[in-house]
Order: sequence, then structure tokens, then C-alpha cells
Amino acid sequence: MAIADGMQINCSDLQAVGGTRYIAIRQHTATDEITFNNTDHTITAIDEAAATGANWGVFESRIESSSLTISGTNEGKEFSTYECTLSWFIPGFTTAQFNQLYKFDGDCLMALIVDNNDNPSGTTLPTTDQAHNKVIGVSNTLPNQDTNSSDRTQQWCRLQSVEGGTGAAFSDEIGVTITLVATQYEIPRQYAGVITIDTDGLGLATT
Amino acid sequence: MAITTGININCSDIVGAGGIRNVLIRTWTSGDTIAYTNTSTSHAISSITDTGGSTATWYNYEFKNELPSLTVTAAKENGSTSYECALTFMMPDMDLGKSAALQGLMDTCMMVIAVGNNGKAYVLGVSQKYSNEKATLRNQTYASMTGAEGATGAGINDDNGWTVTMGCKQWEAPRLYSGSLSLYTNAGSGTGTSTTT
Repeated sequence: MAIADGMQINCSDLQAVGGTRYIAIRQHTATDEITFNNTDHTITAIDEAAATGANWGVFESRIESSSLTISGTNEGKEFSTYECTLSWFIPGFTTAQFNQLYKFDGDCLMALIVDNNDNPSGTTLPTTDQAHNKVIGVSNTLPNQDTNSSDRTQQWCRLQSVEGGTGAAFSDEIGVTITLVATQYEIPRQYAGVITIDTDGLGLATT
Repeated sequence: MAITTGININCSDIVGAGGIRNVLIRTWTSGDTIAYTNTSTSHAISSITDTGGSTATWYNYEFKNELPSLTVTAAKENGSTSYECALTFMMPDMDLGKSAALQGLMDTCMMVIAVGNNGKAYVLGVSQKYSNEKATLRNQTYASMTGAEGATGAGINDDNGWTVTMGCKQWEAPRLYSGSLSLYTNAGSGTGTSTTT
């Protein structure tokens, strides 16, 4: 891809804030259909079957505890490797929480991470805009040749670690930090389709 | 938000009295409904009501005069500005009732209204920026009792009492309550309540 233009950095870029607004996770399935836009480097549709949309679980975390880090490396090849690591802290250490976390074990996952930059600076009202997002575990560089078989890309997101405990002192944290990792060969894409959050805020649908 | 207006300072601002007149505290509940006002001239909360009702009930914490204060410290890092809010008040005489009141403040997520001697009602622990997407109750910017210091004093002239600090961290300046606030009229044994509508 030829370099035709450089890049601006504006005041609005400098006002960008850290952290994630929410995290949504779902399993890859054999019938998933993913539509990529390689011009804008986005995903325009994630469907459980053709044109049916897809359901995701929304996982809340302790405020200011979740982050996505992306480490790209190139070893002189025509591609770079991107290790995408998503981690967040779940306070509580309860059975109900563990039952939810067991669902990650051994599954091939995709994660949608929406950050806090959809609101214009100074605006406090939660926005319906969710464009400032990244998807990990869904990529289109070096994929399985059957483009409808995203479950065989082997670039899924997977559970890497669950770390935490009760602490010892009464004032210690009790809970676990969940880490999901996806190794892919392109920068995480933005989901450019429609995201609709459930009424209770614990699920969403991509269409 | 672009700057569209400046600010005047009038005589009434200059003569506003310092200190806190009332401290009202309640626990967040799942049916709470908050109405926010966001305009270029008003950063306020116009209504706080409880489950299915038209009012919310607040409990009154009296204190020794001229000791309570509210401090707000804002700090900007990158594009994020956080506001650390701390309300401190002193309940004289460490007796049974005060100890019980402290126990009630320990393990709960709260909102606080501090009414200043200037007549303004400042709300702590209720903010809209970075709040939960769908459930107000799961907003994590609530107020907590961040400190309590009890002291008998040593000299006979010293104070005996509890100094309580209610704190919260939020990502917007504390809002003023612009709705209707009915203060208690009889707080015998701490049973009087105030209401917001």
C-alpha cells in the first residue's frame, strides 16, 4: 500500500482519554459470517448466520481497571505479528462470576472493546455512538482460505490467565483479573456496523 | 464542549457565606432515577427519586457548626479530568448513637447532598460522565465513607467526637441540586428525614 498522505494530530486527539467503556465477548461459531472492509480496515458485519446479527455478552469491570494493549513486532517479513491483550478486574470473587468465567475455557472467542472517546470532550451524557471500538480475535490477514469459516482462522481470542484471590488484609482487593489474548497479523479493526446494547446493559447485538 | 459564555461575579457571590448548613446522605437503590441538566449555563441535577415513587428519602447528619467543609480537587492527566470530592463534618460526643451511625455508613454505596451556608446544595456521588451504560445503580462514582477519626481529646477543653469524611471520585464537577429539596423539621433521635423530588 503506497503512502500518499501523512497524519494530523489535533486538539481533539490530545483530549483522548484512557480506559475502556465496556467489553463484549462472544464465541466463534461454525456459521459465523464476517464481512471485512479492507479499504477502511474495518469489519462491517458480524453475523451468527447470514444476515442474522450476532449476540454478545457485556462484561462489566471495576472502573478504571480494564485495558487493551497491542504489541506489534516485525521480523523482516512482509507481515507483522500483533499480540492483543485485553485485561480487566472483576471485584467480588463470587460463584456467579466464576460460572460466567468458566464459559471462556477452551473456547475460541472474539472481543469487542469500546473505549471512552465517543463522547465529545466535556459531554457527560452517555452516547449512543459506539464507533470508538476495536475488535480482537477477528482478522483477515493470513486467514483460513474459506472466508466464511472465521472459526478456522486460528487467530481467535482466547483466555490466557485468571489471576487474583482473596487478599490477606481486610483492605486488600478480592477478585480476579481476566486476561484474553489474540495473536493476529493485522492491527485490530474497528467494528463499523450497528451495535445495540440490551436494556439491562449485559448484552449487545451486532448487525 | 466549546466555550460559548464567560461568567459574571455579582455582589451576591461576594457576600456568600462559607461553611456547610446541612449534610444529607442516602444509599443508592436499584430503582433510583436521576434527572441531569446539561446546558452551557447549568450543570445540575433536577430530580432524584426512589423506586416507583415521586420522592427520595435522605437522612440528616447534624454536626458541630463551623467545622464541616467540602473540598473539590480537580486534576487533568492527558484528556481526562478527575474530581476528588471530600466532605468532612464533626459529630461531637462519641456516644452510642454516633457509633451506630458510623456503622451504617461503612458498607454501602451512597450519595450525599451538602447544603452550604450560601444556600447551594452540592451533590456528591451522583455523576453522569462515564456512568454505567444502562443501570444508574451500577455507576461506580458513588460516595463512600473514606475516613472517620474519633478522639476524646486530652484536655478538658478539647473536643470529644467523630470527624467523618465522605469522599468520591468522579469525572465531572459536582452538580448542584436544582430540584425541590424539603429539609427535615423534626430530627428527634435522628429520625427526621429530608426528601428530594
